[in-house]
Amino acid sequence: MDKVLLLSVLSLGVSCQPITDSQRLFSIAVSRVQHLHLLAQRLLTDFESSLQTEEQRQLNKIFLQDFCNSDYIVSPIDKHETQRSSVLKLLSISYRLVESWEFPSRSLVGSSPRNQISPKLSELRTGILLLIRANQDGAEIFNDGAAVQLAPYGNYYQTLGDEESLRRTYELLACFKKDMHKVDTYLTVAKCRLSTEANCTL
Amino acid sequence: MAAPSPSRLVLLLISSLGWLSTPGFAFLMNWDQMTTTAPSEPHFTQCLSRDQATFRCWWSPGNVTDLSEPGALRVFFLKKDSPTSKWRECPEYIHSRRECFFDVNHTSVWVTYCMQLRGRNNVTYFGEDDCFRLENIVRPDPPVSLNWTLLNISPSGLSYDVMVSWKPPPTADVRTGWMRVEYEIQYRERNATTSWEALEMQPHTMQTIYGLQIGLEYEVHIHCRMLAFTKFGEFSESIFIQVTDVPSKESDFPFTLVLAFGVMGMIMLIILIFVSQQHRLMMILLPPVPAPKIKGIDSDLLKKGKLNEVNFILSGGDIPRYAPDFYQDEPWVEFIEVDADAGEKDENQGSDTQRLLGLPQPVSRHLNTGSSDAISFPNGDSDQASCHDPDLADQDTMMLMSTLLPGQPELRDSSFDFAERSPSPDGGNGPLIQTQTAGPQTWVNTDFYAQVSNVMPSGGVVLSPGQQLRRESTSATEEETQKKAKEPTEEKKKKKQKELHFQLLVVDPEEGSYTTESTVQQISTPPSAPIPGEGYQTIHPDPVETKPTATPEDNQSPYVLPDFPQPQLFAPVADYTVVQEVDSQHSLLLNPPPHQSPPPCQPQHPLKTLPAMPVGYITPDLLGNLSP
Repeated sequence: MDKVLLLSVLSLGVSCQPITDSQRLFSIAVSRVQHLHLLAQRLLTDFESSLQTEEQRQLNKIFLQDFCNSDYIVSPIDKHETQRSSVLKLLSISYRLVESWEFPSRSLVGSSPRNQISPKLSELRTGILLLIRANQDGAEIFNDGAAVQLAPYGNYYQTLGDEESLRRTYELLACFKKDMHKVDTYLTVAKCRLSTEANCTL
Repeated sequence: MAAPSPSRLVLLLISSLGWLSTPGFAFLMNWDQMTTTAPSEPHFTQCLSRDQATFRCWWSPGNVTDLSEPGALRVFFLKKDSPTSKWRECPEYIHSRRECFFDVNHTSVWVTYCMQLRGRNNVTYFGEDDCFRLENIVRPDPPVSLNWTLLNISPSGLSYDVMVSWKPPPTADVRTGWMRVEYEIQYRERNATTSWEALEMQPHTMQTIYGLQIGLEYEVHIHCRMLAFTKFGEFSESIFIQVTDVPSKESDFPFTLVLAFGVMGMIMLIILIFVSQQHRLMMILLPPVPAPKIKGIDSDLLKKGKLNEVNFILSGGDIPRYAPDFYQDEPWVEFIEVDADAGEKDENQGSDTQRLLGLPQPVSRHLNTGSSDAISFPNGDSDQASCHDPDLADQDTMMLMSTLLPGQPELRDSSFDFAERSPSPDGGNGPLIQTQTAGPQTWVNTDFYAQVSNVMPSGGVVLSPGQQLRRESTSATEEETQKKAKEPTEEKKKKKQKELHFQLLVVDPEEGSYTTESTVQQISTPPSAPIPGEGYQTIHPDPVETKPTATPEDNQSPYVLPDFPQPQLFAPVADYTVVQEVDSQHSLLLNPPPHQSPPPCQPQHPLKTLPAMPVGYITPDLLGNLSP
């Protein structure tokens, strides 16, 4: 009986600090996704600078296509919709986005091999999961096993031939950067909504 | 586009549109990289967003003049947020600027937009089929409220640091976290053709500029861009920074210099004083122990051995005679008047004294001639001084002088110090009390002090005789003299007792000084009085007396006497005397025997009123009553 009481007290104590823990976790997650975003930016610019003008022309086509692997994930795409979404929704979408890139990111080759993107994505995913659990309150249970919608071009990447490897790389890099910016924005908006500080982006 | 052969369709689409999008690619990537050759066809010049929620696009009709009219060209866009998206016309035209404005409802982030110009007859100008994503065309507005504050000025007064602060652009929603911006400050000297110097980019709204030069005017402006993006916004309005010379700082410099030099000069001065006046300073700080002097007595006389003069001075009696006059106002000074005449008259005085002191007269003469440093008395006993070491003689002199002039604290202290410092020749005792003989008495040649054996609660001190016997063991010569003195002492003691005048110094701890008490009566030490070297001599006829006749006579001193060189043959005596009663003649009886002869004629002593005191000493105030 005493042990039960002690455990309940401890759990109460732990649960009584959701805000401060959440703030700290948010800060960590935001800084990590910022780092990934900057990494994606650097990869893209490095790749573009390594191309020749001829290849640059070919890469234009990819922009027109503008279909990424993660397009099946429904997410707010404008400011109003983002600000209307709940923190939990933003967190869950971010979680899915990060999860969707864990495998494809292994093929992202950076200029320096030490930029291991995939493990960083895994860590970010774990952090977002913690944030979800901290903000869950039981109202909206995060469904990890949500129906994965197949991409309209599910095997698009695989259908491309070897000559398209350049495009594939470029497309991967561009899509990766876009999604990292998405997650960055979602997490920052969620953090600023919960934060009481004036400069929540710093 | 769920075509049966999606891959082929996609490839077709890509290939068809690919070569058209070269300018678009350049537009998307970096509009600075655009080729300077402006196409003659109508084209879009720029699409721009300031807040990542709206954007605008501007077009140009090109060289086609007939399309320059407003409304001749129409803007269409394709928003690729779904596979079934279609081209739509611009939601808001601003023909005056040839601008198409997309408001919040038509703006989406992370979605590709493609822009298209269409002329009459649905002629589509795909030349500038610009496709972009909104986040890539964001150029934030410049920050506002740029100002600066002076941080500090370098000690040399040549450069200074400045803190520049600003506020984020109002159109960029940084507060809710929708946009993240980072700022870059650039500055340069005004009226100079130097290029701008850029500081490191950072997301905070303040930054320090280091190392600006005093007197120069600087121009500072700032711009910002989104984090992890490449496009900067426009620069803000420039502000100008200038700090003129500050002369007030220099005034502190010489002041500190003057202070430092002043301190150093003072230190040097003090050192000089120390070095030059070292001797004098040592005199002040560590004064040498002044030798006790008796007025009228030149220590050189003693050293030179002019004993006659010394004896005259000592026996002159001026000292004890005028001493009471001098110290009338000091009640604590007690004098034991020494009857010099009586001493002179007494033939046996010298012998008694010598007996007490253990100085053989015939021998002493021999000794006296041998030692020139000895002090002798003018009553014919000048020969009786025993030979001492020079040190001892000097010590004796000092002791005598200090005793005779109690009003001189330095002498007193010195004598006291001397008493404390002269343990070595005497066997190293504790605080000693100097006892000396004044006037024409034979000198205590060996030691002038008695050991304090006890301190009474009322403040008196119990004296004990000197360490004669100890000295006997230490000094061979003294032994010899004492041995020789023993017999004559005994002899003389067997005669009548002699007067023995000497001064008793009683330390009064309350007053911190000692009082000299001059024995009123003549004191004689009974033959039995000598103590085996320890403790106090009791003037006690009874147990210590070998000659019962000697005891009851006069000259029984009421005081406890220090033991002068006494032969060891005497019976042991108690350490101190206890005054038991006062007889009818007001003399103190120290353990009076039942058969005691009439007490000596002594003045009344108030001690009779007191109960038998355990300690046989007399306080100064009591002594006063003893004086005749």
